[in-house]
Formats: sequence, structure tokens, C-alpha cells
Amino acid sequence: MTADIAAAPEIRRRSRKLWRIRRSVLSWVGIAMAGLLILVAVFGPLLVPHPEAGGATVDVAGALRPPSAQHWFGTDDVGRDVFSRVILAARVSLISGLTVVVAGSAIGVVVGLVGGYLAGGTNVVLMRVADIFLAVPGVALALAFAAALRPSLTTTVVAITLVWWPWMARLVQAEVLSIRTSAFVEASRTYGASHVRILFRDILPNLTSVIVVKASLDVGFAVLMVAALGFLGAGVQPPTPEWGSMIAGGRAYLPDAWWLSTFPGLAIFVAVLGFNLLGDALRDVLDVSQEV
Amino acid sequence: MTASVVPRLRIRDLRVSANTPDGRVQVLTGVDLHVDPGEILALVGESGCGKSTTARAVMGILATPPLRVDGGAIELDGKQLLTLNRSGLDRIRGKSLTMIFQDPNASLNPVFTVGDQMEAILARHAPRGERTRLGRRRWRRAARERIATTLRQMRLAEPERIMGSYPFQLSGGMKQRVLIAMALLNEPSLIVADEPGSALDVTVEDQILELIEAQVTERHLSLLFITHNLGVARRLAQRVAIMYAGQVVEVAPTRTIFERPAHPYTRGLLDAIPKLSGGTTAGIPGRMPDIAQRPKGCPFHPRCPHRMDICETETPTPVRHDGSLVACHLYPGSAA
Amino acid sequence: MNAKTFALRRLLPLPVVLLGVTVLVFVISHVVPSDPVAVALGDQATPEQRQAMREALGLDASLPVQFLRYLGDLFQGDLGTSLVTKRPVAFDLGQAVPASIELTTVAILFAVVVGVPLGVAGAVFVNRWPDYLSRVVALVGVSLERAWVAVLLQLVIATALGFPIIGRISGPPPPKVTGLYLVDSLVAGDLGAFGSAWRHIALPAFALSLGALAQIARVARSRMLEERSKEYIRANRAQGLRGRVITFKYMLRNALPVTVTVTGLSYGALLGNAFLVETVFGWPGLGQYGVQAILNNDLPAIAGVTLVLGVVFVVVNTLVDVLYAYIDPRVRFS
Repeated sequence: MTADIAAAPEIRRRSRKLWRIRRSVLSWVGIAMAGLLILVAVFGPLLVPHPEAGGATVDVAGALRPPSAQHWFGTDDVGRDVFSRVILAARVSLISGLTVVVAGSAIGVVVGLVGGYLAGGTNVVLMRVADIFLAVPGVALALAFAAALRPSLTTTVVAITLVWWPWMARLVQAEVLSIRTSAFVEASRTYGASHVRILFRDILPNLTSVIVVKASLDVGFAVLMVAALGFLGAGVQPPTPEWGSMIAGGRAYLPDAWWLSTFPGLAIFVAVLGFNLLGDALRDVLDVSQEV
Repeated sequence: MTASVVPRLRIRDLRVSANTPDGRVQVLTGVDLHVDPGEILALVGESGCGKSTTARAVMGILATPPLRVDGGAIELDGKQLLTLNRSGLDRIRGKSLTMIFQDPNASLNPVFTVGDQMEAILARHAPRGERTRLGRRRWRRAARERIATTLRQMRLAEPERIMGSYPFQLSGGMKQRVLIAMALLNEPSLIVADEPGSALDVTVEDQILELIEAQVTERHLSLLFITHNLGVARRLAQRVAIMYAGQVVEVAPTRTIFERPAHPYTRGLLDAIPKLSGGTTAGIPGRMPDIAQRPKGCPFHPRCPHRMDICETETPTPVRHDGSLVACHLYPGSAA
Repeated sequence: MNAKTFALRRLLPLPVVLLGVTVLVFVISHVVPSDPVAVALGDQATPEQRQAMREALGLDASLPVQFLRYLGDLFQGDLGTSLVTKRPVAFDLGQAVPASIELTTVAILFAVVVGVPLGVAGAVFVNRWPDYLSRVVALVGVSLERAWVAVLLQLVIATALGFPIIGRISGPPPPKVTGLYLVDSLVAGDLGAFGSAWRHIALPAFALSLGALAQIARVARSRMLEERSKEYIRANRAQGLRGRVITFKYMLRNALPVTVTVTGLSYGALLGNAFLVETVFGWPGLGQYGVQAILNNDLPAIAGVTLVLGVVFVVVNTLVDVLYAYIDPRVRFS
């Protein structure tokens, strides 16, 4: 039986009133944007005006047309509807972003829990390992990884996950280090709770808000990284639409066919902004210790 | 009570409210008190009764986004403080009106030396042109002399070393003495002391109180002393004001309060003090209400052994009774 | 202890740490699954040519021996030869590093000069328009894909001028003193070169700075807001100190340390992540060199770039620590 009595004032109360979401427009905008992105990613392929744009169809006559009523974002160099491609690319970005964050959190939380709980030498070693991954610039590491194996969606996701997990690990480790000396953890120990039990019953629940906030804020980071890799040609391969590779592909036609690079970039901005706002909103709700 | 003396500090019907997630809540519901020149008034109450809020309102350092002064007046030597603009207030604070803070660990800036921080106070209130007249170096030297002297009066040895130290290098007791010195630097006429020493060991606190008492007497200062400890109030003050749930319920000379307490709450507090002569102590049943859920009428009525019907609906106004000013329906004239 | 002693103590282990970085680099460059011989010679080489190349590259010796040779070469400034450019890696880096340093430094300067005041203004004017501006800028800065911004900037300028701005300068570079064209042109008194160098660096530096600017503004604002509710700041108000003094002296000094740390980390991050901007603007820096090296499996070059980046990170972090200790005296004693 864990000591969940009032003798544990340090536990952040988990029952936040959800309507305490800052009565700020921005939070709701973020939630709406993130929601929209998810909808677009899930239902996009069904609603898209020109589904064939996601493939390798070629229509030379209709190539490089500026935005119009039939093609809201214009057409690309082989005649595909840019709007459809942007919508379809949302799926790639969203899946990647969420997978990176989920997988990276899994790794990071485990490492952080172990390191923070055992402290001492083990923690130092684990954090140094994390530091190694942190010292090498993210894009470089992801690039190297993707270049060593054949670039694809999978390698992209794995590479970015490898880059991201240390951030979560460090955060979790720091929190665990401070929680493990709390009164209620000690109390549990006096009841004979095993280490595993303490970790999962006492410590982990107090980390959930921190983890969720960090993860949601960093979905944007993951999306940006996917686009960066795509831009450099080391990510998702054509003809699969991906925002970063679309920007890169459109460069050759600047400044005339400006719509090729502009709209994918705008889409990235909207997506990342939406998740950042969502992360901020979650932070307002979950984490009292944050700023005014 | 001599009516011809202008009180050093007068607080009239001070009302303060706070904006909480659950709406606007009254923190102070009409505080009335005064401090005469050369007098020590102890403002006593439990945590949450509003005594610190009152002190901060006097100094003008309420956390104003959530808190707000809704009405009332605060006068220092007859001068209205609440209507002063920021620069007017800044000229008074730190000079004629100073504060001794409660937590010596939190009240000093950690990245500046003690000497720097004290010098800043002197520099801010230096007479116009004095600094240019003397020249920078000479002024600083004079300032440091003055600071060292004050520190010595705080019974601190090696004032120069202390001036060159950062707060984290000093003990709690030393820091508290520094805080007192800071309040005395510019020879104020009124000091507001917010539970000084309460964050320290009892023996150290004792020395601090002794020091404060000595300084106030020597310099003929007026002191508004905030505390939750009746014993301390008795030791230091000439008059005592008891606060409960946002208002003053009784004010009287110290002796009167302790020998013939008028308000049931005061009586309860005194009964709760263990006496060396033995006998049982009685607590007051219940707890002081959350300010968000203040009872109507007299705020103490739910816990009062002398509760009457009128207490549940009408807030009592203060009346004179046997040397005390007391807000209780037990005494004639309290009903408005 | 005073700031100087702390600085010395902090700098002492530096050589050891740098050695650790070289070991790491060596290990990494021998773990990457690719054959330097194949890279150097291509697919058509004969077994004899491969063996000759192996010997030439010193790959026939055991690993510890290779490492010692590597260290020895390092001390003589020899970082091996790029398998792609066929020039000494040290030479290539000698060109690329100053270019990256110049770009990153200008970008960070911009981020700090704009970001800190923006963050402070946001805190001072909480919930009024400067705060909204500050928060919007921070939010936007963090949400933009740098490559895209770079592309857009190129687009806009190219449309306006009729040609895109590529590279570091139009015309001959100033005589090399530091390798930083802005500095060198001033040293040589060549204002024309300075102007050209400036025109070429402004846009990429701006594109690069956005993320760091946003972070710095956010951190500065957050720390200043925290300071507002500190008891010693309340005490300052009770002492009648002037508002401006309280904000810019007493609050800022406490808000700076974390801001400095973030700036330092941003410097390292910017240096390593300048790839995208460099690619778009054709800036011949570490990023571009590194990308090419990675995409072509050019091991000595990869090792060289990683080594330089590692060294820079370590040095910058140490400098940040020292600066931090200067600002916040509590740190010197822990």
C-alpha cells in the first residue's frame, strides 16, 4: 500500500480542472490546429481532389501551372497537383513526428528512470552516454544514419529518435533524482515496497505531466527534422510526397514557380506551430510550476 | 487615548481583494488601526488572517495583479499613501518608512554583495546633489563608513568582511541583522516588521527581538510588528491588535489584552497557551475559514462559544469596552 | 574563490576532455559501415590496387596502432586526406571553419541583440502588446523550418535583384588574417569588400538565427517573470529603489545566467545545424562540407568535421560555465 496520505504535499496533484486551460485564444487555436492536422493526416487521402498526385503520374502539358481554381496550390514540374501533395505529405510528417516522440519517450523515460533512481555511478554513465548523442549535432547524426543505410521513412524515424531520446532522458532523470528523496517515497520503502513498485507506483505517476508536456512540445521538433532530412535528400524518397523534399525540389524553379517551395513550407509552419501551441496549452493545464 | 497626537501611521477601513480562479475574494474586509509616535504595536493573528497583507499594503508592495486595494486609507504622519504615485511612494519607502522582512534567505539578492545592496539604499535616498558635491569616491567612502557603523550597532563583528560577502556566505542570524540594519540605515520614522526572526532558531530569534527592541527604544522609532506569537507581542509591544479572517477584532494596551481580553477569539487564543503553572489548555474548535468561504456576519461566529443569532447576519463594528476597542456583538453598540 | 581561480580550475581538464573527443571520433569513424578503399577508388579497382590503397591509408595496421598514428598526425596538424576532394582535410577545414564561425557568430549576435531585449520587454510589459509581440516572435521562430526561410529569403532577394545571392562575397576576398571576411576586410581597410561580405552574410545569418532568437527570448522572458515574484525584489521596492534600476540591475543580473547558458548551447547547436542554411545559400562552411562528406562516405573528412565540432562544443561550454560563474557567484563554491 503506497503512502498516498496527505503526508505527501510534494506530489503534484494530478486532477487538474481541465477548464483551467488558460482562457487564452492561443491555446484553443493550437488545439484546433493540431486537431486539424490529425484529421487531415488521417482522412486526407480520401478528401484530396487529385489523389493521383501522390504517385508518379506525369502530365507535362499541365506542369508548372500557378495556383488556380482547379489547382489551389498550382502544379509541380510533372503536372501533379501541389495542394493534394501537401495534404498527402501531412500523413508522413504526422506519423514520423508522433512515432519519434513516442519511441523516444519510451527509451528516454526508461533510461531516465533507471539513471535517476539508481543515481551515483550508474546515473553518471547513462547521462554520459546520453551526452554523446547530444554532442553530435542532430541533423548530422540523423544524416549519417540515413546515409549509411538506404534512406527511407523508417531510417528517418529511427535516426531522429536516436537524436531525441537523450533530451527526454535528461529531463526524466533530473525529476526522478529530486523525487526519490521525497517523504512519500521513503514511506513506501518503509512499507517494504520493492524498487520496481516504487518506480512505477510512486515515481512514474508524478512524471506524467512533465513527460506529456515535453513530448507534445517536441512533436514540432520531430516534424522539422523530418523535413530537414527530406530537404537534404536523406529522408523519405520520391515519389512519396514529403514537405521537405518538396521544398528542395522546388528550388530549381525559383523564383518563377514560387508555389512549389512556398506551400510545403507554410504547411510545415502551420503544423509545427499548432503542436507548439498545443504543447503550451498542455503545459498550462498540467504543470503548475511553469511561468506566470 | 490622547486625541491631539497625530498618529505616525493610521490605517482606515482598508479593504483588499484577490482575484482567484474561483472569482474575486475579500482578503481584508476593513482594517482599522493606528500606531502612535514612539510606540510599538503588535499585529497578531494566525496564518492567513491577513496580517502580512496589511503590512505589504502599508509598504505598497502587494502583488497587484492578483491583489487589489478596494478602498480605505493609509496615512503616514497624515500623508495619504494609497493615492501617491510610484515616484512619490519611492521617495518615502526606504527612508521614512521601511520594512524588516521575514525570511533572511529570500530577502537578499543572491548575486550582489551585502555592501552593494546596502549602499544602493543609501544612494537612492541621498539628498539631492550630495553625491555630485562630494564626488563619487568620497561619497562611497562615507557611505561605507555609515553602513559599517550601523552593522556594528547590530552587534555584528567585522562589518567590512560582511559588507564584502555574498548573502549565501552569511548565517541566517547574520542575514537577519543585515535586514534590520537596512531598515535603519536612513533613520526611518516608522518600521514595519513582518515576523522577523521567525524563520530562525528560537535562541537566535530571541537575540533578534532583543536587538529590535533596543534599537527602537534608542532611536524613538514607531514599529508595526507583525507576529503570530502572542508571547513575542507581549514582550515587545505597548499595544496589541488581534486579527481574524481579514479584520481587526480587538485592539488594546498589552496589559489589558492579556489580563482582560474582550473578544472571544482573543480569550480562546490565550487559553490555548500552555502555562508553566500547569492546567489543561483548550483549543478553539474548528479552523479559521478559507478567505474564499468567509462566514457572513461576524467571521468568528461558527467557532464562538457565545454565538448569538445576530452574529450570523451582522458584522459587528468596533466599540470601546474597558480600555479595548473590540468588534463583537457581546458589547453594546456593536450592531451597526 | 574568485572568478579567476574558478576559470582556471574549469579550464584545466580541457585537454583531457579534448583527448576524449578524439578517441570518440576515431571510434566512430571506424564503426561506420563503409569501406574507405571502395570510396577512394570506386567500384572498378583491382585487388592489387585495393591492397595498395589499404597500405597507403594505413588500414593494414592494428587499431591501437592506427589510433596512435592518428594522434601523432593530429599533433602535426595532419587530419588525413579527404577521399573526395583529395586535399588534406586540414586544408579543407581551414577554409570551411572560418566560414562557419563567421556565420554562426553573426547569427548568435543577432539572436542575442534582438532576443534578450524582446524577452525582457515581454516580461516588463506582461500581457500588453510588447509581450504579445515577444511571444509571437518566439513562437514563430521556433516553428519555422530554417531551410524554408532560407529558400524564401533567397526567393525574395533573387526576385528583387534578378539574381540569387550565393557564397560569401562577390569579388576577391580580402587578404587572409582570420579567415573571417568581415574582420579581414576591415583590417585591410577595404570597405567595398566589407559591404559585399555583409550583404552576403546578412540573410543566411538571419535565417540561421531564428530558432536561437526564439529560445533566447523565451528564456529571458521566463526568467525575468520569475524574478518579479522574488522576495528580494519586493524588498527592493520596499526600499524605494527606482523601477528601472530594479529591473535592469537587480532582476536582470539574476535572469542572465540561464540566458547565457541557453545562448552558449545555441551557439553549438547553430554551428552543427547550419547545414540547411549553408546549402541554400551556397555558404562554404562546415555544414556543407560535412553533408557532402556524409553523403559520400568520406571518412577522414567526417572524422575531421566531427572533431572540430566536438572541440568547439567543449570550448564554448567551458566559456559559458566561466561566464556563468562570473555573473552568479554562488556557482564558484559548489
